[in-house]
Parts: sequence; C-alpha cells; structure tokens
Amino acid sequence: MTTIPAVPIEILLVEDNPGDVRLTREALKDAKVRNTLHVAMDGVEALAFLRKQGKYAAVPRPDLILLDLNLPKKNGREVLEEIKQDDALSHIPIVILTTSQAELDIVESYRLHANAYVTKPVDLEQFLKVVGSIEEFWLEIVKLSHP
Amino acid sequence: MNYTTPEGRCHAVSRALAGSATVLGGLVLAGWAFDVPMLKAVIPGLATMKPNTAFCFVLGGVALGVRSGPQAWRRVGQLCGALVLVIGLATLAEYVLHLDLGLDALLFRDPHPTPGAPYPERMSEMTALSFASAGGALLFLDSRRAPVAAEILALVGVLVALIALVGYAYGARALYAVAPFSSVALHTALGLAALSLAILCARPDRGMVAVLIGDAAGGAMARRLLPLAVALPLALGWLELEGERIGLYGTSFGTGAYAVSNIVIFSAATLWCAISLSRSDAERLRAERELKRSNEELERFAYVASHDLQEPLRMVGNYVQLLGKRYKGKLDADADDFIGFALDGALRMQRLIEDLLAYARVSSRGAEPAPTDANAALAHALASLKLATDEANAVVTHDPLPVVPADPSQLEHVFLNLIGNALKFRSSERPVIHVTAAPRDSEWLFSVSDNGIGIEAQHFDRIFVIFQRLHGREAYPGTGIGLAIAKRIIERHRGQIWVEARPGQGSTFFFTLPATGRSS
Repeated sequence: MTTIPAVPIEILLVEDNPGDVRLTREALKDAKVRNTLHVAMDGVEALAFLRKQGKYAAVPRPDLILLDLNLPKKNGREVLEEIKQDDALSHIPIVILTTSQAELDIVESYRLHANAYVTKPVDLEQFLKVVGSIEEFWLEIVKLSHP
Repeated sequence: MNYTTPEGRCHAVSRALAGSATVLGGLVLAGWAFDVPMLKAVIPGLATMKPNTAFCFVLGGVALGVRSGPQAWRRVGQLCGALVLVIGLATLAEYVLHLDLGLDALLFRDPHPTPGAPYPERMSEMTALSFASAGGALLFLDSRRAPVAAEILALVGVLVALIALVGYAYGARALYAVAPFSSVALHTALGLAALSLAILCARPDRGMVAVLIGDAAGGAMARRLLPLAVALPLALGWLELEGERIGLYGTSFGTGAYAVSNIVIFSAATLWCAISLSRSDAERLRAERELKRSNEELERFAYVASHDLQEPLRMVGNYVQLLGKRYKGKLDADADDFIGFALDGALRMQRLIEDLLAYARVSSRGAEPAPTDANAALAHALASLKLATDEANAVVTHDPLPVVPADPSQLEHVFLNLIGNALKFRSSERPVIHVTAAPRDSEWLFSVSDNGIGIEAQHFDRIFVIFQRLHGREAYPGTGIGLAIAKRIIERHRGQIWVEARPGQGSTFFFTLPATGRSS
C-alpha cells in the first residue's frame, strides 16, 4: 500500500448521464485512492477541459480519463481519437465506459488505443466492483510509471 | 394416401402403372395357357408377347406394388426385381453368345411357331435389354448409394418402348424389330412404357422426378416444355409421313417442312419459357434484396434497441439497489419488498435484452459454415457444462459424430443448449443423455435424447418460439431464448430442428445439417 500517492488523483469523467455521474461519484467516495472527480457533459467540453480552454484555464491536467462512448456534440470515439492524436494528451490513460456490449464498439475502441474497456453493469455491486477495478488499474499505471 | 400433393399423385400414378403392367402380364400368361391369340398378339399376325416377357411384367408390377408393405413383403419385392434382372440378362446372354439356356420355353411352348424361327418363345433383344435395366432399376430404387442409377436404368426401358411405339405408329418395322423373328410386340412396348414410368414415379422424392414435380423454376419449365417435346415431333412426323404417303409432297419437302415447323414451335416455346422465367427471376431477386434489407434493419434495430434500452434500465437497477443499500431496515418491510421486486424486474429485463441481442446476432455475427468436427463441438459444449453435469450426476454418452459444414461455435452452442436443457429439465431419475448422428439422404440427422420430464405434444412447436416458456420461473429459471437461438442457428445452416417427446418419458431433440456445403 506504499504506492498510494499522497496527492489526490485527478479524474475526468466524460459522461452526459447525470445518473451515471452521481453513481460514479458515490462509488469513488469509498475508494482507497484519494481522488478529485471532474465532470464534462459532452465531448466538446471534455476537450476544452483537457486543453484548458476558456473557463477551464485553471483546471489541473487529469491523471485518468473515464470516457463514455455515447456523448452529445462529439461522441466518445471522436474524443478518444483527438486525445490520442494530441501529443500533450496522448499519455493520459483512458478507460472507456459504455452501456453497449456490442463487439463492434470494443473492436473500434481498441483500434483507437483506449487503455481499457468497461461495460457499465445494471447491478450496483458490479458497478462498485468496476470502479474498484479502475482503481486497481490506476495503481498499476502508477507502479509502471514510478517504479 | 395423399393425392393432394404432387408426390402423392406421383405415387398413385406409379401404383396404377405397376398394376396395369401386372394385369397385362397376367392376361398374356392366361393367353398362353389357354391359347388365346388375341391376348398373345393383340392383332393376329403381329408379334406375340413372349411368356417370359409377360412373367417379367407380373414380377416387375409386384416388385413395385409391395414396396410400401412390411419388411417380409419388401424382401419378396427385391426377389421379384432380381428375377427380372436375371431373366433379362440371361436372354441377352443367349443372344450374344448364341446359347439356348432353355429359359424361353420354360413356361409355355408356342403351339403355332412362326416357320423358320429358331426360338419362337424367346423375347426380343430390345425387350431383354429393357428387363435387365428395369430389374436393375428395381434393385437400386431404394438404394442410398446410387440414387441416380435407378432413374438411368428405368429410362432405358422408356427409350426402348418409345422407339418401338413410334415404329408401330409410323409403320417402321426396323424400329421395333432388330432382327428377323425378333420384334417387340405392340403390347410389350406399352407394358415396358408402363413399367419403366412406374419405376420412375416410385421415387418422386429424389432425382429427376423430384425436380420435375418440384416448385422450383426448373420443374415449372420442364413441365411446360416436356409435353411439347414429346407430342410435337410425334404429331409433326406423323403428318409429314401421311402427307408424303398420299402424295402431297416428296421426302425433301416433307422433311424440310418438318424441320421448319419444329424449329419455329420449339423456339417460340423456349422463348415463352425464358420470358416467364426471367420475370419470376427478377421478382425473386427483388424479394431477396428486400429480405436482406429488412434483415439488416432488424439487426440494426436490435442493436440500437438493446443499447438504448439498457441505458435507462441501468439507472433504474442501480438506483433501486443504492436505495436498498442505504435504507434497508430504515424504511419498513414493505419498502424492502418493493425494492426487491423492482430490482428483480430490472435484472430480468436486462437478461431479456441481452438474449434478444444474442438472437439477432446469430445471423449477423455467424461465421460461414466450414468443415467442422461435431465431436470437437460436442466436447467443448460438455466441457462448459461440466459443473452442471457433475451436479446432476448425469451420464452423457455419444456415438461417433461426423464432420459437417458448420460454424463451429454455433454448433457448439446448439449442443450446449440441448444438453443444458436435458440437464435442466431432468426427472427424479439420474439423467442419461445420449447424442447420435446418422446419415440420411444428403444430410446428417443428429439427435440428443434424455430421460427427463418430457414435453406434451401440443407444445412441440411453441418451445422453439422466442421467450416462450412452459414452466414458472420459480421451477425452472431462464428467459426462454435457448431453443429459439438453436432453431435460428440450425435454420441458418439450412437444417431443421424438432422434438419428439412424451410427458414423463424423456425427450429427443432432432436436428439436421447438410452433409456437404453448398458447392459454390
């Protein structure tokens, strides 16, 4: 447990469904890792946040992005593509969150170099587990980058 | 017997023709026994039907007549067929090797032999050839290995009969008499036609006849052109001959007119068929495109529906659960119950949506059928079911299974589903499940049988319908998707699936798969 960083990790959740935002917030409340959750409601907002444009001039750069695939204005795939093409952002680990289990989405996301892919479950316990696994995923990333 | 289907009518025609051949043979045999010239030669002075010929007609007719009878009768039928073959071959041997096996006068001696005829009771070469073929056809009729042999052999008889009958109609002796003293009698030719056509019609379920009576475009075209192909040259030829005979024109004019009228009428008929064929073909193509479009739309719909339905459903499920987690025991017992029901509903609906998506994916995500070892597919399915099998203390056995053209994971899914059902719907006895496969014409018939609770006959079709269930969810869990998916998979492989079962006596699920892939 010595690898847990003292500074809270900054998480950007790109999600348009307030229900999911709240659930993620609830789940992260009990998380082992101290964290700050930022929320962008659509793809355009997410990119503005990441590029610190306009009202986001003072926000920190997130350590982890949780990205929903179905978003208004600019969908998750487009956002993912833009992040991965941006040298300043491409190193940020991205976890794709989505309702759809269709293989098409999975294939396409992997082709676009998402770091992980998670299907949002109906069952709350599973949802909590998923958030838990995202945490573990994060710890792995930290271990890898700070040996 | 069912006369409303083309197959039923074909069987009826076969029996009627076989019966007439038998009666004809019987009458002629009586003619020989009681020396009635009319029965032996129809018109006195024409060739007689020989005793062995008449006997062969009786045998051939009987062989066809007893085919649908019990096993012992069918043996008799096979024996009759073999006897026809032997008589035909022996007579041919007599001709070719200049022998006298003493067969010809075995039944009767000719009381008025034609002067100079060496063997007055011997059937003609052509007749002998026809019987050798007909005998062979009778033996091959129900053979699985040589389905075409019977048809080809029977056609020899049709051809001989046609040649002889045309010879009689046109007064061309050379057509029915190959050598002096050896000619096909008029009623022999008729009998041969009857017997050979009876053999052809006896198996309307396969080969040429199946195509001919079938619904496909090929059958429709053949039914239009064949009668014309038979009747037109006969009629035109007869007209040409008669015109020439009464001195209207000479041979060259007559033959020319015959050729021209044949060309004109056949070309017109062929064009007519081509026009109607291409019209129905165009309609079929349009329908196919329409079907493809609507299938794609359905898949898209299922995908979109499953995704968009799951989103709000997750909200219901997650928040009801969060409610339960935070407020359990803080509200009252009713509240806890209500939360439980709401959650159960949400979870069940999610399963339904997932199953619907799986059902839609059978065709959209299925792989092209490739040679697949059914033993391996079954082994994989059994490995996945190991826990359930052990838990039920079940015995699952199987015979060696074939290699069939299939999508391996879908075939595995079918086994998984059928054996899973056999385990799930078990009786109080220890489950015994057996998987077999047997060749059947051009396909394999698989079966999965169990000693479970069985199914009432009235539900045999219903169980294959999506989300149809026969039992309460308490008794047997599940959405009712399994057999619907199995059916969709089997039908995608151009097979069929059905069940035979009795309540309390176990069920056997059958499915067929083509033995070989589409040759394209």
